[in-house]
This record gives sequence, C-alpha cells and structure tokens, in this order.
Amino acid sequence: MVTIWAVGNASDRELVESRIGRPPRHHELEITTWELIELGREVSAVEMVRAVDLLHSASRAIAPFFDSYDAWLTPTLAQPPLPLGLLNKSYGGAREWW
Amino acid sequence: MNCLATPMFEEARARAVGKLPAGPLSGVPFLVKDLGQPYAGVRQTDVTGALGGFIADQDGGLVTRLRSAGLVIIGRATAPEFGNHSTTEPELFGACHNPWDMGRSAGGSSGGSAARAFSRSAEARSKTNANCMER
Repeated sequence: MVTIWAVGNASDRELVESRIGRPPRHHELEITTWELIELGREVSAVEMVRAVDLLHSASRAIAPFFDSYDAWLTPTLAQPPLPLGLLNKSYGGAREWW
Repeated sequence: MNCLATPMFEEARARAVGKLPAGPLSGVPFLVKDLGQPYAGVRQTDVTGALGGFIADQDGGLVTRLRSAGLVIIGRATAPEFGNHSTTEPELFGACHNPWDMGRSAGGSSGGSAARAFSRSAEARSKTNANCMER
C-alpha cells in the first residue's frame, strides 16, 4: 500500500507544479508529504505494477463476498477516537505511518 | 469544529433561491471534500499550502453530477494534506475537532465531513476514504 500511496503523492506533486508553474517549495508541504514524494519517486514502474497486481489480487479474493451481500459493514474504530496530536505524523515517519 | 476549508454559504443561498434542476435530491444541501472535486470559481487547496490561492476553472465530474441533480453545495470540507493521514490535523487549516469531544480526532481523511456528520448537521457529504469507511 505504501508503494501505491507514495507514487500518488509523487503524482500530486507534479499536479501542484502544473498548477502553480513551479515546483512546490519545502516549507509549502508537510514533512510526511515530502517523505512520501521522495519514496514515490524511487519506485520503479515494475514495482508499481507488482503493487497494483497485489492490490487487485486482494480485490478478487474479496469480491465474491458481494455475490451474496450488498454491503460489508465493519466498525470504523475498535475504540473511541484518539486524542488530537497523537495520530498526526507531520514530523516525520511516513514509512512507519504506512 | 474547524471542519470547513472553504464555506460557500452565500453562493449556496443564492443557488437555493433560484430555479434548481428537478429531481428527488433537488435542494438538498451538500458538502464536498477539499481534495479534488473542483467547483468552478471556488478555491481548491487539496489541503496543501503549496497550491496557494488556486481557483478551479471548471466543475469536476462529481460536482457536475451533483449540481445537475439539484443539490446545493454549501462548502468544501477539510481533510489531511493530500488525504495522507487517518486524522484531520493539516498544517494549512489546523486540527478539525470531534464534536462529541473537542480534544479528540474526527478521523480522516474525511475528517471535516465526519465532524459535520457527528454534529448531526443536515447536509449530505462526499467521502473519498482509502479504506471505504462511511460515517
């Protein structure tokens, strides 16, 4: 998942550049976003295809459930919402986060 | 709650008093998420400071369909930067608060939408959660 997500961030960076006419500057993005962009730019096309294939394999394994059911309901949380400041990783650790 | 990136109340009121497309959802207030989902003439940040004052020049596919169905979009909900976290505490807008306990997270990436839902506000809202959760 981190492979696909990181490549998505690298793609978002290109989108930002196309909109503002220059590369985004370091202070304009959160630290975790920069980490993901850097990770995404290191991913090869082969790695990306393999990651997408893996995701599709999981989708195919799950899909038959919906032959019998319209929706799959699960709890969003296993415990009450966490305090603010605990989950946000704006100060590094993108790989750890994902 | 700090759940709106860009309120659109005045535009929504003006649209609501005008002639709306007919349909079962005509007139229903709606909140779009400030990640993608461009609305012509309205600021779209994708919750990053890097986009500055970017104003969308045309409606995206979802917004086009919502407006064609007569829904009235009342604002753009906050989220994490690029939707990167499962909590909504972006540097650009600051933390979105859980209305049931203001010291707790409203989740993410659709935290702004979730906070509005938890507060029992009346409008419907769009989500783009990576793990398909609906609240």
